Amino acid sequence: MDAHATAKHDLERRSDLELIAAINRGEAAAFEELYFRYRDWVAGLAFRFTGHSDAAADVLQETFLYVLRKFPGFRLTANFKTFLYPAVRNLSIAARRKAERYQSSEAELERIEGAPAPEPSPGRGELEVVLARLPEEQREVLLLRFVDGLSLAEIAAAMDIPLGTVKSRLHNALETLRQDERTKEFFDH
Amino acid sequence: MKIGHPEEQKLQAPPKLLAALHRLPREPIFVPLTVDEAVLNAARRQLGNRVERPFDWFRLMPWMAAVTVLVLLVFPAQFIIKAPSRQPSAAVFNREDLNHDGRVDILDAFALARQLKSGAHLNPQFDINGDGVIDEHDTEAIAAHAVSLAKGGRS
Repeated sequence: MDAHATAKHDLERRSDLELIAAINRGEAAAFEELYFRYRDWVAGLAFRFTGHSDAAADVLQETFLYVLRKFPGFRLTANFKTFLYPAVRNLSIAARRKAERYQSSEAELERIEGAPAPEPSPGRGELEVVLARLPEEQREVLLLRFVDGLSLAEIAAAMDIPLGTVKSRLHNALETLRQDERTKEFFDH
Repeated sequence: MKIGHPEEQKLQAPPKLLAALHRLPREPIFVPLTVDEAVLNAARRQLGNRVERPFDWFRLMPWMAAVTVLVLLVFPAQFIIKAPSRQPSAAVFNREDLNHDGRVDILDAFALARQLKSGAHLNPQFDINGDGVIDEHDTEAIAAHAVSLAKGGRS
C-alpha cells in the first residue's frame, strides 16, 4: 500500500469529530473525507426538499461552502447530520424561492414553504404513494427517524422544534400508515 | 437505530415497515464533477493547501544514495587539491539552506521533511519548486539541488 493509500485509509477510519479537529488544524484532506462521507446524504435530502436534481446539486455546493466558512473554530456538539439538516433545508427553500421568484403572490410563497410531495410515479410501491400524501412535516420526521437513523432528540435539534412535537408528528405519521389500507399490512405481527 | 425511553419504543416502526422504508427506491442524484471541484478547491484555498500525508522517507532514498556517492567522490578530491576554504556568508543563505549551515545538502532535505512530518506552520519560503504547496516534492527539489551542487562543489 503506498503512502497516499495509507493516508486515505487513515482518514476513512477517523470519526466525524476527529475529522473536524483536523480541519480546524488546516487539513484540507480531512475536509475532503467529510465531504464525501455526507455528499450523497445531503444531495438526497436536498432533492427531497427541492424535487429537482439540478437544484439539489446547487444546494449541496452551497451547504458545504457554508460548512467550510465555519472553519477554523468549528465545534461539533451533536450528530453532524443534525448540523447539516437545517442548512440544507433553508438553502433548499431559498433555491425554490429563487426558481419561483416570478410567482410572487403571498399564496405562492406560502405554498413553497412546504416541501413538495414527490409525485408517485406509476409502478411505484403503495408505501411511496401513502408517504407522498403525508403532511410534509410528518413525512420528514418519519424519514429522518427510520431512513436517516436520527434519534428523536436529534430530529428535534435538527428541525428546531420541541421533542414533544417530534413525537406527535411521528405518532401521527405512523397512525396514518397503520390505518391506510395500502400500508396497514406492515403493522401485522 | 437508537431505542431509548419506553415512550420512544412506542414510536418504533414495526420491522416490516422499517424494511420497506429501507427498500424505497432512492432518486439517483447526479452530482456534477464541477460541484465536487468547487467545494474541494474552496477548501484547499481556505485551509492553506496543505494536505497531510505521512512522509514517505523511501522517496528520498535514491537521492540519498546519489548524494552519498558524490560526497565520497568530491570531498577527497577537495582535500588533495587543497582548494581555498570558502567561508559561508554570515547573513545571506540560499533558500534551500534550511539549516543555515552555509551549504545545501541532503541534511536540508531532511530538515524540511521533519518539519512536514511535525505539521508545524511552514514558512512560504520553503515552497522550493514554486507550485504553491509545501510538500515532499519540495524536499525532493532540495535533494536534487544538493546533487547538482555536489557535482560542482559546495554551495
